[in-house]
This record gives sequence, C-alpha cells and structure tokens, in this order.
Amino acid sequence: MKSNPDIERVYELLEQHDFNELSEEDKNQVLSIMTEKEYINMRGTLKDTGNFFNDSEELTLNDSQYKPLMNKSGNGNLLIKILKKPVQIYKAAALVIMILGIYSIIHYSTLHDKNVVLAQNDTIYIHKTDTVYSKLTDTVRIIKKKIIYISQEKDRIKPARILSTSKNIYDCSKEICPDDIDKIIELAINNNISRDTLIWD
Amino acid sequence: MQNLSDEQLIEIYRSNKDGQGQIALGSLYDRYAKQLLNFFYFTLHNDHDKAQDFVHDLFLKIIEKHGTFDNKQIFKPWIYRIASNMCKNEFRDDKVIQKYNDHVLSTTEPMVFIDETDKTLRRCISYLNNEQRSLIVLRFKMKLTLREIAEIYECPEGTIKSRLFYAVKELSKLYKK
Repeated sequence: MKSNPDIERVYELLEQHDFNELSEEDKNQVLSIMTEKEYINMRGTLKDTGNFFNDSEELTLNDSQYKPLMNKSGNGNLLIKILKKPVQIYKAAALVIMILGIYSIIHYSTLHDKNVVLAQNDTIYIHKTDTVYSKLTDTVRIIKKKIIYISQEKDRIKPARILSTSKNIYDCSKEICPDDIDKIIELAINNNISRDTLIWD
Repeated sequence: MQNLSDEQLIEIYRSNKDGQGQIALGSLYDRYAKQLLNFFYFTLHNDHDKAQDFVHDLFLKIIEKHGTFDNKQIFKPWIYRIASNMCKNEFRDDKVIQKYNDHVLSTTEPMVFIDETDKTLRRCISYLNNEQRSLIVLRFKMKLTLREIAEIYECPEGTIKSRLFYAVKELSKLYKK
C-alpha cells in the first residue's frame, strides 16, 4: 500500500479531534479526501472502538499452562531436547538409509579382513632357523612331523607356502611338497637337530 | 529480575547465566502472556481456547528460536511480530477463515458484551481482514504506539497510519450499516 501524506495526516486528526475542533486548514485537508459526514462517522467509530476495548474484560491465562511450558524451556537435557524435536519423515528415512549404508560398509570391510586372516593362515612363516611353525587351517591338508631346516646364515627367509589339499597340482620347485618330508628330515639329522624339536601338530 | 529490561531478560535466558535462564523466561512470560492472550483473543475471533494455545505456542517458539532474536532489536516488537505472523499463517487458508466466520456467527455473546453497541462492534471487528483486525487490536486494545506497530510490521510509521486509516474506514462502513 502506497503511503499518502494526506491520508496519514487525516488519520492523525481522526485520532485526536472532532471535525468541529479542526482548524480551517485541517478541515480543507480532510475535505479533500472525504466528506464531513464520513469524517464524523469514522471519528465516532474510532471512539467507540477505543471505548469497546477499554471496557472489554481483561482475559486471564490458565495457570496450568505455565508449568509445562517451563519444563520445555531450553536449558534442560540436550538429548531430551533433540528427541522432542519433530522430525520429518523424509529426514528419518534418510537417516535409516545412512545407518544401513554405514553398517554394510563396516560389515564388508570386516569380511575382507577375515579373508586376509584366512589367507595368512595358509602361509607358513619360519620364525626360527631350525624350526618351522606351521599353522594350518582345516582347508589345508595337515602335514605332521614336518620340519624345515634353514641355515643360520640366512637372516630372512621367504615364507614357504603349503598348497591346499583342494589343489592337486604341486609346483615342487617353489613349494613344499609331501615328498620333501624325507629331505627335510635328512637335513635335520645332518645338522644335529633333535627329533624332540620336531613340531607335532 | 523485575528491574531488568526485556532485552536483558532474554539475554539471561539465552546464556542461562548462573542458572537463571528459567527465571528470566518466567519473568518475560509474566510480562507478556496476558497481553498476548488478549491480542490473540481479539485477533482470532474471540476464541479463548485458541488464544491460550497460541500463547503457549508462541512461548515455545521463543524457547526454540531465541537464537533468532538480535540483541540490537527491541523485544516487544519482536514478540508481537511473531504473534502477528502466527495469526497471518492461521488465516492463510480460506477454509480456516470460513470456520472462524462460522464460529463468530454461532458464538453466544459473553456476559461482558451485554451492551448492544459493543456486540455490534465486536462482530464488525471480526469481519475485518486479518491484517486490519490485528492493527486495530494492537492500536486500541494493546495501546501500542504507531512507532511500535511500525517496528512490528517493519515498515514506516506513515504506512501504518495509512493502513489504520483504511481499517477504520472499513470498520466504520460495517458499523454504520
């Protein structure tokens, strides 16, 4: 609504003066906008409205409203405040999807770790120069009385791998084969390693 | 707390300084709840229960959104602006307006309105549009200054005078019918 200086002035006059109390200048200003009758009517309405509101009963609040309101005031438990906040359905759905996504990522990464452990179990590590510790899972054929002698000069030895029984093709030039057992035992005897040190699974 | 300004009270509430937050909010409630009840009552077509609910909701809004209050602002226009916007939202839907009009027609006159003039005037005020009715209530019931009303509506004082002029003109037409 555009502001009109004349209307603004007339409104001021309406609030304060009856028509017959106006100066000639003010009367002219009023009459440029409305008739005298209209002014008198509006002035009458304005007075009656003021009286109506002055006479109207002052309403009182129900005291029971006060306490629950105070309980909800912002300085309480943060968690309760968060829980009491209304959440729109799409936000809740997004949250559920996010949780499921995170769960599946964690789940699959854990599964991957498990696979790594299984793979490691298929590998023999030589920890001592005269002893082989083999940890075999049930997916590998368990070889008993097995020992590998490695000379003391070698500091680091590549881990040897025992093939799974599920595989029938052995590459005995690179991997320990069942036929190697005799050779290993022979090596142990030649190097004065007691049979007591043999690992019995 | 009684000597503190509204702005100081809301600041104490926001910072909860020395655990005085709730007391500060209580003081604001004591100062404004009754005023706002009257504002809502006359703006929402004399529906007392609805007005009580609105006062309750308004203070909940203050609790939840006190962060939106700017320290440089004056509290009184701010709280009335929230109240005014709540009424504006309430009357956004034509169905709701119709419901209120039906309420006005069906409501039996309370004892305080035994005067015929008052009865007529009350109905006429109800027939004004929401903004005009709010302006009339703010000016003549709440007795706010034109400057305060201008701050509530965030417009110049002159605009409020114009709007009030047209509101009174409309009311006068209805009243003299």
